[in-house]
Amino acid sequence: MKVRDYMCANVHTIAPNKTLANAVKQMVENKSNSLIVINNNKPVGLFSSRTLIKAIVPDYLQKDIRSSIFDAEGTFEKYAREAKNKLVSDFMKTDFHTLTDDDTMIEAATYALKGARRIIPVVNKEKGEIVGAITRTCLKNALYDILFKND
Amino acid sequence: MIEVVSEGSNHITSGAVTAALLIFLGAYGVIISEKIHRTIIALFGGSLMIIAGIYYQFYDQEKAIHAIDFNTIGLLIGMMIIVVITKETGLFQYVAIWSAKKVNGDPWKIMVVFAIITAVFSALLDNVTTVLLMVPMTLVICSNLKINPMPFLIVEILMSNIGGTATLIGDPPNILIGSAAKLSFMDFVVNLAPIVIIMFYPILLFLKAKYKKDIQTSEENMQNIMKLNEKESITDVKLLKKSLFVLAIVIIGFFLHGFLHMEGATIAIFGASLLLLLDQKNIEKALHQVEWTTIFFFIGLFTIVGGLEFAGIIEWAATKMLALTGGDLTLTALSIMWGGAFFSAFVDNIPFVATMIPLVHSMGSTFQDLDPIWWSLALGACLGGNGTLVGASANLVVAGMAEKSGYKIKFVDFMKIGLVVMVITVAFAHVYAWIRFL
Repeated sequence: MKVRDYMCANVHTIAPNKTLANAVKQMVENKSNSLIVINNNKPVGLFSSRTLIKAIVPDYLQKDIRSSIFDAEGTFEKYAREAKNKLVSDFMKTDFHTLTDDDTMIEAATYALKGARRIIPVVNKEKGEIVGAITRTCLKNALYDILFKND
Repeated sequence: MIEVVSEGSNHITSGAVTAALLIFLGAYGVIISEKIHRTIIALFGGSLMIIAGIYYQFYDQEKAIHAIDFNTIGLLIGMMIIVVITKETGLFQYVAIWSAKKVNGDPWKIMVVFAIITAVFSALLDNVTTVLLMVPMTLVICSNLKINPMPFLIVEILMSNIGGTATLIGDPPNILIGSAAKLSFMDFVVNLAPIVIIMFYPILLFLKAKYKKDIQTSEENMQNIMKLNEKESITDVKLLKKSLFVLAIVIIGFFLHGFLHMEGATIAIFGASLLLLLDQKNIEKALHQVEWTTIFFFIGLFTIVGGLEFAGIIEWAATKMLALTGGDLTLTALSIMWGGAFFSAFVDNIPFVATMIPLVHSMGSTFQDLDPIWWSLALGACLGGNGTLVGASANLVVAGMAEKSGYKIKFVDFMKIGLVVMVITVAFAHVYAWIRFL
């Protein structure tokens, strides 16, 4: 069983030079919580709904969660508007693992566990270009196949 | 014991002096340039110093271990553990909101009480922790008042450095000086706190003239502050009581440590372990959050300066400096104060003070009482931190947090105020030292 057998071929991607507003729009429209940032068809970053929230919540509240209880009304809206034109490339996660379509499923499962990653880009072995992604759903489906189909 | 060589300074060769000086200046240069993390350079320079020391027979590991001031290290670790646990209790947020409400949400009065809180916390905790706790609350309060937080942030930087000057544990240079010169917490309070309190008033007048008009707000916004409930910040009342209990013991312990013949580290580690005993579930987290990079920076630095001392360079520099000042105590002390202030305004005051300590020690043969010099060094190095944005770690922490929250404190803008405040405060310290110690 290889990664290519279970990956989702239909992945949502975005370019690094798009704005956060573009990213939100795209995520809402295709009902996804994560995007793979690609440049020349190669994955360069991951962008999730968590990244989006992190871009909105100002540093001082992240440093001291408790003080957020006291912040003024309208603060969320204020920082949301300020973040509108910031670039995806400034917030995307760049320390991520990439699988190739030829990798084994146990490798995919192990990396899915590490750092609780929602999505792992899959590239073809030859060119390193994006061909799909492994999500927890893919792994769940693989598990289902083993337990209920292959006997 | 086979080791019979290299005892005393008579074996020091010119090779030893050159090697020690090159390692010291090289490490110092890289630390100032901030190209590489200061801890990495301090540890690397320290090990190079030992290797060179063995080769040129002026220094070795045994001597390096003796050069490390474990009282400073213990004091820092103990206080860090206490702070890591206490800051989780919401005590600081409670104090901030409570005091803002006490002055009815009036922006200028909030600025004054926050200045006092920052100064007092900085005197009892380290400055970086204080500003890390004060900045978020300040931004939250200003957000409620709908005013620009920049003046508040600048005032807090200034006050953290001024407040930290007042006590033994307020600022790392003081911990170093207190430990090396065997000066107690009480000695610092008696000798330095008075001038810190005195200089608070002129600084306040200066800030009032500068900022009061910029931070006006409406009655309605002031009411936003009155609506906040400070009690919401306290989530763990039991832990808060334990922390306050231990903090009280530690502070009383510091006041008495000279009298009890206990070193600062004994008090701090006792307090830290007592708090861990009362709150056993936090041991892993507390030790994990100790700023080990700072601790290892001190260890590396002590090792480097130790090598410089054993190579005879410190003594030579002290002789040169005394020749320049003609062996006059007043001139020596005040030069160290002003020199230290300007130096500390641009570079880290910790390596500066760590190097000055053995230098001052070796002036002991010229001056009977070194205390005036120790106080001058402490005042200069601590107050100098206000000169520029890079003068102290707390300054950079505030600037970093502010920038990431959308408020950029520019280097030159800060310097226009910081340098003025530095000169005013050091001038006060100058007059004070002259009347009191010289």
